[in-house]
Amino acid sequence: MYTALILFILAGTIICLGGIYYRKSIALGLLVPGAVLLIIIAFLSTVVLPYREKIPATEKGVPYSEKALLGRQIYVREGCWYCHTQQVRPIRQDEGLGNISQPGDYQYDYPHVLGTERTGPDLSHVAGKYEDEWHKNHLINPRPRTLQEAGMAGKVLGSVMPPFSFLSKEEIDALVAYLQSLR
Amino acid sequence: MEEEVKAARPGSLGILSTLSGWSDEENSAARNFILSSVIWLALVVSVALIVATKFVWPDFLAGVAWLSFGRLRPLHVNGALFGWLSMSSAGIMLYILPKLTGVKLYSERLGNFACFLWNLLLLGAAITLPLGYTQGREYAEFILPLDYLLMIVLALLAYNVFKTVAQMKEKAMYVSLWYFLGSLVWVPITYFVGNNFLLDITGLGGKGPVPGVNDAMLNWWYGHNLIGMWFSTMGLGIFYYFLPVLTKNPLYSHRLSLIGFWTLAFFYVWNGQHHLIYGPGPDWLENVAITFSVLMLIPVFAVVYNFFKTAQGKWHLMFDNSAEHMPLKFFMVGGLAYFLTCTQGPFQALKTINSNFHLSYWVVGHAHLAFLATFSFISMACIYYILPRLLNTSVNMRLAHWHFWLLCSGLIIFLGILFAASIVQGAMWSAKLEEFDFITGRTIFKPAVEFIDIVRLLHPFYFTLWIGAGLMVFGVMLFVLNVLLTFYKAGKVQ
Repeated sequence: MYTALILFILAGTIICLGGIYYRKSIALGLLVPGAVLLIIIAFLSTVVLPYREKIPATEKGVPYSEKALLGRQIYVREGCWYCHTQQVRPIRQDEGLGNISQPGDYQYDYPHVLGTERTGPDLSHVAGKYEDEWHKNHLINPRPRTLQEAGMAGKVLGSVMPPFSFLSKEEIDALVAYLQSLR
Repeated sequence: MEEEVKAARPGSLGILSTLSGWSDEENSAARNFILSSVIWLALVVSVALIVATKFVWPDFLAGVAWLSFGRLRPLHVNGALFGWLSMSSAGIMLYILPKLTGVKLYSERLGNFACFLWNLLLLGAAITLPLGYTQGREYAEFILPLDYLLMIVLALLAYNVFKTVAQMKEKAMYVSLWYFLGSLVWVPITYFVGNNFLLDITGLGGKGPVPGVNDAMLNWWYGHNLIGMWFSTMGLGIFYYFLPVLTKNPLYSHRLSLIGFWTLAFFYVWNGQHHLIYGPGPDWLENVAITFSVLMLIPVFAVVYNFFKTAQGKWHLMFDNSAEHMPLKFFMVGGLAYFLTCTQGPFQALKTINSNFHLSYWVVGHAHLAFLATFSFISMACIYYILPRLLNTSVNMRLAHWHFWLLCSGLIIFLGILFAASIVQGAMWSAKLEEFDFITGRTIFKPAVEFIDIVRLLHPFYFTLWIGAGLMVFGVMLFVLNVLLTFYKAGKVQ
């Protein structure tokens, strides 16, 4: 694999330097073939080569139950993944969040929900942290709106999570089932 | 100038008449593209304001599914990218093309048709995204039918441009043309690869054609290349044309632009994985991506050095309030922001820096620095330059100056707050309590701050962010108003 990688980088370098050295290359109509070749080379080495790597199975990488899968679709549809990551990195910032993410953990994740931003906490290992009731209350409205609500499970003062009161009861149940499956 | 005045045929320039019909008037495609892009911009910034408000008052518009954060965010991002920036870049390119090639655009009708289809596609996106139809991958949220439509539009645009270039008598091409041709070759490939074509039509999830990790790699290869091989390269093509035009200096070095072009084409496409540093992907790939990210300094500084050398001695014109030099204000800010954002990029790919800033609001700031402060400013400058020439009238200077200063002051607040917030986030995330476990003999690190306390700490940041966003949205709305008024005025005079 590394041989292929080095060959690809070499090929790219030759095209790139050739383009710079032969000023006339563009006028000779070599722009389009060069441009296409460069992007294909990069695609082969950074997408196809890693795809050929074997992914060892992990305990986390198991199929979702039907209900959890439905919940996952809602998770994707409502854009939960814009604010919640599902990756634990091997660095100080992520210590204490649970096991470090392995490639095998995501075997049944499509589309991926790794996330890019952590406005809310990481959800890789959220299963079992809270009761189902907590999640339901939290999803409908994460903040306490009356004094009575302040003591309720799942009501967090200062949260900026959007309320998902528009989801049906079944949808909320499915979403909770998904969250409780993230071990 | 004389020719352009004649080309803008009287009696056919009202807002409605420019949008309707398959006109084959000269520059009508450019005009329609620019007008549409500005209308989409109004939608995008309105959505942005709602989204920013939701951070301060999360119960704002609560309980309405299609106005919830998770559905408006993709509309904001895709609208800004495919609605405003893509269309304005395409419009400006269609205006530049005849000037650089010395021949007329191959087919104005085809250009207008592409513009119509593009608007149709965006209308579809503006309806489907808030309704929750999404592919669930960043920058690739459009559902499959819209993806197909976008591919068709890109193909039409590329065909038009290539046919125009083929008619050129002289074979020496200016650097802008390389970038345009390059972009139009790269973007269909990138878009095709990144958008689940024939892979997952339902978008429902579960076990897909590729495992989740590979899907993430593919997603970021696409996401990064869309920025690099479409928005950047289109922006740079426009930048290289308007740099000598606006500063009235000759381009400093053509050789440097050649180096910049080929190194960008080579290095940019390898960077995708730097969005997943320390993630579950293979380490070697991350290291390759980081290496190429640092190498990006070469094409970036080729552009930046050319920019500074060409603009030398003309900086004072930024503060010249005449109508002639007004576009230069926006243009110079865009050039400076390009320098900033492209210097940030390679450094934030370094592992030590990345560990502190990844997943924080730094990323959001970086994205706005690239798309808003750089390429939107360049597009706005060019629209201010082009409109009076296309429509044979003038833009409102008062509104334009308000637009500039409101947008700039809002931007400084907005970016400053995002970068400051990211430092707070990084510091709070790495605050750990150490516990020595006597049984295993290992030190255990536990978060010293509850996550919700970090959120509470960010509340004042969100509020200031909202003020910055409000100023920017106000400024941009003045721009939209100005452009619409200019179109209206041009229609009315004739």
